[in-house]
Amino acid sequence: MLEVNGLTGGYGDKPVVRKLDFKVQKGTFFGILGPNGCGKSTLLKLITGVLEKQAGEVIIDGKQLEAYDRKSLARKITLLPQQPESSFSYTVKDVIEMGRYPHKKGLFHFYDETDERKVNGVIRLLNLEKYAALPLPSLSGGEQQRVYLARALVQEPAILLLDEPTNHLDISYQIEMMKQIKGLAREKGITIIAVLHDLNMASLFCDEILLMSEGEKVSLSGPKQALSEGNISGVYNTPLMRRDHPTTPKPLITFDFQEKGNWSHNDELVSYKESEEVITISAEGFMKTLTTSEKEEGFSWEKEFKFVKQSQEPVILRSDDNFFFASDNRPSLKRGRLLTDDNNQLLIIKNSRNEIAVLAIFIDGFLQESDFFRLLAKIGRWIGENPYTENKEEEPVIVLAASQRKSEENRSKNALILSLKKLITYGISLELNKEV
Amino acid sequence: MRNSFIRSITSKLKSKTAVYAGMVLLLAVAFFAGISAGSANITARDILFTIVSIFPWAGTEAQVDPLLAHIILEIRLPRVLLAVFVGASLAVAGAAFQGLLRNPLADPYTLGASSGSAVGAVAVIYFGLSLPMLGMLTLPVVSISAGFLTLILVLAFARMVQRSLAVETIILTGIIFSSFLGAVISLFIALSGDELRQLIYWLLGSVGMRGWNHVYIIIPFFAAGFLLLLIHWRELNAFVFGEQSAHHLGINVGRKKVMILFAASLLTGAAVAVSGTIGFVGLVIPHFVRILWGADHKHLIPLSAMAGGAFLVFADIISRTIIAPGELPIGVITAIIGAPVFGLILISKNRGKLA
Repeated sequence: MLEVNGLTGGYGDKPVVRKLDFKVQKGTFFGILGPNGCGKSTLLKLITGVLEKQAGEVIIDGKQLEAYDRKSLARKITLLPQQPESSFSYTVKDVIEMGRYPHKKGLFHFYDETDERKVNGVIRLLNLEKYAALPLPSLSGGEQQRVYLARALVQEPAILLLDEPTNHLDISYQIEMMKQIKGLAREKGITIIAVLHDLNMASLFCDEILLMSEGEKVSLSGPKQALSEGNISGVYNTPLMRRDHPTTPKPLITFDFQEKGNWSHNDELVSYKESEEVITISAEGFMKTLTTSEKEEGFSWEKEFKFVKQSQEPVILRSDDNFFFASDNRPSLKRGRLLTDDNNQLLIIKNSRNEIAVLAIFIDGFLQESDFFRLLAKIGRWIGENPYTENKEEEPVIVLAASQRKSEENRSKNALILSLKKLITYGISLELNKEV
Repeated sequence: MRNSFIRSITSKLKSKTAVYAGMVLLLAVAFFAGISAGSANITARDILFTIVSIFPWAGTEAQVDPLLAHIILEIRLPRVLLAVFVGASLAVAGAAFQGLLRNPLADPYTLGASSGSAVGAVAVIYFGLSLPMLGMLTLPVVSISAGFLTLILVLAFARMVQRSLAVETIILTGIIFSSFLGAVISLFIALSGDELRQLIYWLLGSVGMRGWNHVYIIIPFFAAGFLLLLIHWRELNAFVFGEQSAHHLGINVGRKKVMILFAASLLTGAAVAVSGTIGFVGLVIPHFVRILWGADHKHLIPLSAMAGGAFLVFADIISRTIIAPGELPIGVITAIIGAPVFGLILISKNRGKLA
C-alpha cells in the first residue's frame, strides 16, 4: 500500500529524516514511535507531500507520490491532525461534509445524494447523529476529535495517517478512539499509520511498529520485538521496564520510579498487633507481595497485612493500603507468632485445629519476580518435606513480601534461601512441636 | 437546554430562505431611504417612477418633477449605489481575509492592500496628476494599481521570509507594509499645503459627489472579486481549519490562497479607489453575519455583501443628515459605530454568549 525507499527530508541543510525504508501492507495498523524530535512528524509531512522530500521515493498504491494531483492524493491518503484549531464555528455536519471536497469536480461542487448518503453513513458509524446539527465548539475535545475522524473517513482514503490522535483525550476517549480506528483498519481495510507517544497504546493496537531515533530506523517489527527493553530504553535514553499485559499477549511498558525515604532503619521489618477480630502486621514501607491465596491476583504492593480471625466469607478485602486477609470458611485463627532472624521475619498463624493456616515471610531485600516464584516453589517443598506438616490436608496460605530495598552488601540469593529454610523449619517445628 | 439549542439551530438552518429574503428587504429599505433622505423631499413613489422611466420600454411618461428626477438620477442614485458596492466589496473582502488567515481580526487593511491604494490616491491628489487618456479616472486607476502592487510586494516579501507563505508571516508582513505606507501618507499630509483639506477628506472616505463614473468603475471589479470568492467557498471553509488541514482535504493550498488573496484585494483596491479609506466595514460586518448565521462561506459571502451594502448606505445617510446641511466623512461614522460594536462582539463572544 505504502512504500518508502531511502526517504530523506527536513528543513534546511540537516535532514530530519534520513534514508528511511519501510513498507506498510494494506489494512495494517502501523505505529511510528520515537522520542521527541526524532522526525516522526516530519516523516508524516513527507509522506503527505506537505513538505518536499530531498531524496528517496514515496510510493502510494504503486504510484509515485509526485504522480498524484492534490485531489486524487487526498482520495488515497489523508491525515487526522492532533487538534485542528478553528476560530469560527461550524456545525458538526458542515465540518464532516468538507471531507467530500476531493471527490468533487468543477467550479461549483454540487453536493449530491451520494455525498449525503456517505456523510450520513459515517455520522452513523461514529455515533455522531445527536451532534450533527450542533456547532463544533460546543462539543468536548474527544467528541470534536471524532468529528475530524468522520471528516477524514468521508474522504474515503485508503491510508489514514494519525498524528498523536489521542493526545488531549482522557483515557476513556483514548481507548474508544483507538478501538474505533483499529476497527476501521480491520473492517474497511483502511491502512492506518499512526504517530504515537504512548508506548502502551502502541503495544496494544499496532500490528507493526517502526521505532525511530534521530531520523533513522531503529527497528521495524511487531510490538513484542520492537518494544524490547533494550530497544526502547536506548531510543528514549531512559531506563524503561517491560512487563507483559495481564490479559492480552502484548508488552506493557513502565519505568523505574525509586521512591526514597519510605523506609527508615529500624530493627524490625514488620510489627505484630492483635485485636479481638484481627491480626495486623504493619510494615514501615510498601512491600512487594505475592500470595498463594485464591483471592489475590499476581503481585501487589502492601503496607499492612490483616488477617481476620473469625469470618464467614472467604474474602480478602483490599482498601488502598491494606492487604486484608480473611481466612476462608476454615476454622478460626489462633494467635500468630512472629519470628525474626538477621534480615527476614516469619509469621506463622495456626488455626483452631492446630494446623498452620498462614505462613508469611517478610524479606528485607530486593527480589526479582522470578525469585518470588522460585522461593514460593521452595517453600512449598519445605512444607511438604517437613515431618510436622507432610500429608496434611490443609495447605497453608503462603504470603511472600519483600521490601525491595537494595542494600549495599549484596547478599547472595543462595544465602537468602538457606537462611529462609532455616527460619521456616525452625518456625514450623517450634509451632507444631510445642502443641504435641 | 441542549434540546432548545438544537431546535434553535435547526430552525436557523430551515429559515435560510427567510434570512435571504430579510436581507434583500433590508437592502431595499436602505436603498429607498438612501435616495429619499436629504434636503429635497423625495417620496418612494417618486423614486419608483423615476427609476422605471429610465427604461425606454416602460412607457411611463415622467410624472415626476424633472428637478427631482435629476436629483434622484444624477446625485442620489449613484451615491446610494456606490455606497452599496463599496460596502459590499469591503465586507466580502473582510470575510475572505478572515477566513483565509483564520484570524477574526483580519480585514482589508491587514494585508496593506488598502494602504497601498490610499498612497496611490494621495499621490494623485498631492501631485495633481492627470494621466493622458484617463482624465478623471486617473485617481481610481492609479489607486487600484497601487493596491495591487502593494499586495504583490507583501506576498513577495512574505515568500522571501518564509517559502511556505504561512498565514502568520503574511499578516506580519502586511502590518509592516501598512505601517510604512501609513507613514508615507502622513508625509504627504505634512508636506501638503492647499491640497490638505482635500487629502484629509479623501482619506476619511466618502461616497458623495462621485457621480456615475465611480459606480461604473467599481461594478466590474466587484463582480469579478465577488464571483471569484463565491466559487471558492469550499476552499475558504477548509482554510478556516488551517492550511495543513486544507492540504489533506485535497486543496492546492498555494494556488487557492493566491487566488483568494487576489480576489479580495481586487475588491479592496476598487473600494478604496472610489471612496477613500472607510474602516470597520470589513471587520464588523462579516463578524456580525457569522454570529447570526454561521461561518459557512457559502452563505457568509453573499450575506456579508448585502449587509455591508445596507450598512454603508445607512452610514452615509447619517453622515449627510446629522449635521445637515454640512456633511461628515463616512469613515468617521463607520468607525464611531463600528469600533464599539466590535468591542461588544468581542466581549460577548469571549463570554461564550454568542458564536
